[in-house]
Amino acid sequence: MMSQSVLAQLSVTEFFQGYNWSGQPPKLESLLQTTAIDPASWLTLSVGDFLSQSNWHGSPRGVQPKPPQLEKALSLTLTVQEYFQYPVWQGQPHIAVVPKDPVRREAKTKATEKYQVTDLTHLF
Amino acid sequence: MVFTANPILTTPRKPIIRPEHWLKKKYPEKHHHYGLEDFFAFHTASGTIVDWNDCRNALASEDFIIGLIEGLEAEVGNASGVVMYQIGRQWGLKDAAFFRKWFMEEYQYEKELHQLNLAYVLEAWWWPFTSQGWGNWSVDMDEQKNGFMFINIYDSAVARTLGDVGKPVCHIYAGLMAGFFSSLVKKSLSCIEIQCYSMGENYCKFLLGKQERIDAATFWQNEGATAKDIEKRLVHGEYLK
Repeated sequence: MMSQSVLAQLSVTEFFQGYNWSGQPPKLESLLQTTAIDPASWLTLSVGDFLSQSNWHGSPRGVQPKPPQLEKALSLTLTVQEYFQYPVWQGQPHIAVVPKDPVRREAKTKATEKYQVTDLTHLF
Repeated sequence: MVFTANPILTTPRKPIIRPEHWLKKKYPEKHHHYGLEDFFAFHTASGTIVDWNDCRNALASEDFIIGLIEGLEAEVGNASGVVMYQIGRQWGLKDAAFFRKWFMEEYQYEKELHQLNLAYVLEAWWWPFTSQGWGNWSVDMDEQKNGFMFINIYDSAVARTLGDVGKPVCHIYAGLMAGFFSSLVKKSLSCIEIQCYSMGENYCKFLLGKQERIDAATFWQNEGATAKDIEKRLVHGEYLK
C-alpha cells in the first residue's frame, strides 16, 4: 500500500497508470543491495528521523521514497498557498489507459444493434 | 304483474381501487427504476404487487407451475403443449400492445416505436420479464438473412421447475415470442423451442420465423433432429417437400 505522502505526489492519471491492474507480482529488488545503516549512528538521529527509517508499509526498499523530504513537502506548517500548490491540479485525462493490442480484432457487433425495429419486418 | 327493481342489481358497485406504485407517483420521471424495491411496489396491507408499468403481479410457486402443466396434460393429453403455446401467443399479442403503451408513455419519444433502435426496444421489452423471474435472454440475429432468428432463454421458469424430462417444455415461452414478434413486425410469425434445459441442455433455444420454416423445424424435431441439425438444414435452405 502506498503511503499518503506518495499518493499526494501523484496525479490521478499517474496513480491509475501506475496501478498493478493485471495483478502481476511486483519485482522486488534484492535487500542485499540496500545500504545497511550503522546501528551506532542511530543514536545521532532525531526521533522523527529514526522512526522514518523504518519500512512501515512493507514496500520494497528499492522504491521506498525518502520520507524526510516528503514530510517536509507535506508539512502542515506550510502556508495555505504553498500547500495547495503541491497537488497536480491539471492532470491529463488519460486515466488507466489500456495499451493497444495490435492483434486484437474489433469485437463482433451484435446484429441487433445496427437495426431499427422497422428493419425487423423486412427480415421475415 | 308488477315489476320492481331488483335490489341486488341497483346496489351501487364499489369502485375498484387500483394499487398505485408510490415511487412512480412521487418520481414519475425516474427512469432508472431497476432495483427490486424500485420496480415493484409491495402493498402488504392489501396483498398486491404492482410494478412500475402499472402491471399487477402475482407470485407463483414451482408447485403452481407443475400443477398447471400436469393438470393440463391430464385434461388434454398431448395437446397440452399446443394449448400452452396458444396461451403464450395470446399473451404475447396482448403484451405487445401493453408494451407499446407503457414504453411510449414512459420515455416520451418523438419518434415512432418502429423508428427506434431494435436492440434497445427488445431489451426494454424483456427486462421486466427478467425481473419477474422469467429468465434472462439473448437474441441471435446472425441468420436474419435466411429469414429466421434465434432467441435464447437462460433459466426458464418452466424448465427449471420441471427439471430434466427429456423434451422441450417451454411452450408458453414459444407462444409468447410468436405473439409479441408477430405484433411487432405486423406479420404472422411462429416459434418453436428446439433446445430446452429440460432436455439436459444449458439453456433454452427458440427458433422464430414464418410458419413454413417452423413447420419444417417441427417435423425434423419429431424425427429426432437436434437443434444443430435443424439450424444446419435451415441455413442450407431446406424446406418440407
